Amino acid sequence: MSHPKTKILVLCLLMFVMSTLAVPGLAQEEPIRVGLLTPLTGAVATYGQSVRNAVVMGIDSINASGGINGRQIELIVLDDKGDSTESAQAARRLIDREKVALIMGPVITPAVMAVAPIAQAEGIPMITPTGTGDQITELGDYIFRAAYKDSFQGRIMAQFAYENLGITEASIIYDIANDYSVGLRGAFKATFEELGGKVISEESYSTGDNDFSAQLTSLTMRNPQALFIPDYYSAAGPILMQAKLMGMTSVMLGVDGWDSPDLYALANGFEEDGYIVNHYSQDDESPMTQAFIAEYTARYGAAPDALAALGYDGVLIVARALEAAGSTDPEAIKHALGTVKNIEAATGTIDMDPEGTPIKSAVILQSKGGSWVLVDKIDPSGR
Amino acid sequence: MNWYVIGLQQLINGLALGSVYALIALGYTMVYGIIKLINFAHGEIYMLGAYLGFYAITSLNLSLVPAMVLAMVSAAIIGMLLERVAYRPLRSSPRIAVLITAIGASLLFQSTAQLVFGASFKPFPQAIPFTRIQLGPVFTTNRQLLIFGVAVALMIALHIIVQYTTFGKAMRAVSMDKDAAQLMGINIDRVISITFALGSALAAAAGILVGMYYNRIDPYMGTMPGLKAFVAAVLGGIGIVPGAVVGGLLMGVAENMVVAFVSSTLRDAVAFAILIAVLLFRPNGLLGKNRTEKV
Repeated sequence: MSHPKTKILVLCLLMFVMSTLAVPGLAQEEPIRVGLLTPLTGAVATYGQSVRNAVVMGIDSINASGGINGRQIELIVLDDKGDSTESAQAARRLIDREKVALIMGPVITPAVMAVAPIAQAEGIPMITPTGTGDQITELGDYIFRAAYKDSFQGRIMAQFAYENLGITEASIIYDIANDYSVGLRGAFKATFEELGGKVISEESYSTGDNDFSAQLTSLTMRNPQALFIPDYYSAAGPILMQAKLMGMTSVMLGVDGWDSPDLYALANGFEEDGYIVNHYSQDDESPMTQAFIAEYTARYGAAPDALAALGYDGVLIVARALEAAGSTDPEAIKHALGTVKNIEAATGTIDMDPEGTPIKSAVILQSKGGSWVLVDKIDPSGR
Repeated sequence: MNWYVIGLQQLINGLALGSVYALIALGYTMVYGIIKLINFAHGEIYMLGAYLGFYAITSLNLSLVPAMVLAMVSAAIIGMLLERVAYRPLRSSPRIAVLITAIGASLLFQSTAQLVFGASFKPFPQAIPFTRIQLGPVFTTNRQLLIFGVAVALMIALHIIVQYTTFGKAMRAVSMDKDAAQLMGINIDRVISITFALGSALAAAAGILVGMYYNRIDPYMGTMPGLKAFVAAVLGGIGIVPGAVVGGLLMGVAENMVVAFVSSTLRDAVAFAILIAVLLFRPNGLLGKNRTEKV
């Protein structure tokens, strides 16, 4: 009965010998390993899925056209659930076990804040496509991002509310346990009051709360002209719904965190007419943006949100930097990430900066019948 | 706006939230009353109830009431299984062993739910349309009334079961003295099992009501309400059924009043501070009897 077993053994040996022979035969350099930390599940899952889709699409097209200086890119995707602890653990795995040359991600600010010190200490360059918290890029010279900062975003929304909508009295409801939300609240408030507006009341909640009726009752009683809700869709959706059901008639102001296909279901239609600041608009007519939208829609069957656009831009920045660096030496990649200029990307033309944050524009969008309509485009100087 | 109008409005919000706490607290208190176990997996039964309701409405196309009945029955079965598999074998073990098992069961349910249902937030199907009901200067909504109404109805039903049925009598007997009850011919395994079923069904009802009220469910939704309901049960006097109702409503109203008149940042802190204050003066809870230990 040992006959078939021997056959299999011989076959295995043969395959092994052939595989060892085949590698030098292809005469190709080994691929560049790039890690991606992104929340594919959890409270911000749609962000992570969009980023993953766009990054995979971007890397596939780079590999199809010959890779970076003749080397292919190998992407290792890990789900961090948007949780800071999980994200830090996943980063350790990317560095220690997967030996990546560069980390893309994480996606949300609190997770980036947990991973950045690790990347910095290990000297592994890292670029978050989407993290907007101001402090992120202050954590070290190896830390970069493809998005704008929250201070910029908060300022833009305050200016738009005061100057374009003529709002002089606003209220804020924010998540006191999230750096992103707290940072945005500070930026909005500072600019709004500097301009001459008044924040008449503020209420806070904690991550994971789902009853906002007490806070919203207090806010509604003051009857503000506008309510600023700087948080992710998973909280902004229920807040919008509960606020409108309570009879609040204020103009709803939001941020890039609202941009998710799940917002509509969570807000149940009550996001209608609300304004957000965002990284890009699907109405942008630039050929690069439209080409990206067309390719993404054809591949995934849904229009890309801003998270997808930023993920794609992250890949373009990484590709240009790896090309310029000419090797996987961390020091060279770091230098390249801070100096690459004039990248024609999905969210506009990007100039990277050694400080870590690109110089780029923002847009104001308004919710109309389940999609975001372009209202205004703001250049990098904040007009 | 006058302060009493704000107070009145927050009272209405607080009663709706509080009745949810009360429904969950009842499960804690009944189980504690009978086997002196703090069933930390109870918050997860509430979460499972919300998901069962979600799938009953979306996949089986049931309307709200049948979906709720189905979820309550399924949750009751899960509660009984939990007791049978995880707690009964440990009934004669030290109480700390069962407590640790309960925490383990809670984490198991959470992780399994995350695996099966996905970790994303799910919008709950809006089974009933929304209406706002104006009451002079303040208002309520049909959802708040539904939560409050269903909670009160279920609490009355529970009260009738506990006080006026043979099973209720058996339950009270087991809670007073397990051994003596057994000597009187009461099948204590069955009584404990049904107690878990009743508590779990109430938690499932709360889960669905909350899912619909807030339009959002996720695998971790049971953690904080579970903890707060536990506090509510202790506040009212753990093991005492009306105590859970009083504690739950008090917690809900207190939280809303804190937001209205103190600060929303301190909401949870004040809720727990009230607990500490009450326990300092009434260690057995608001409705608890001060029993002196006989030596």
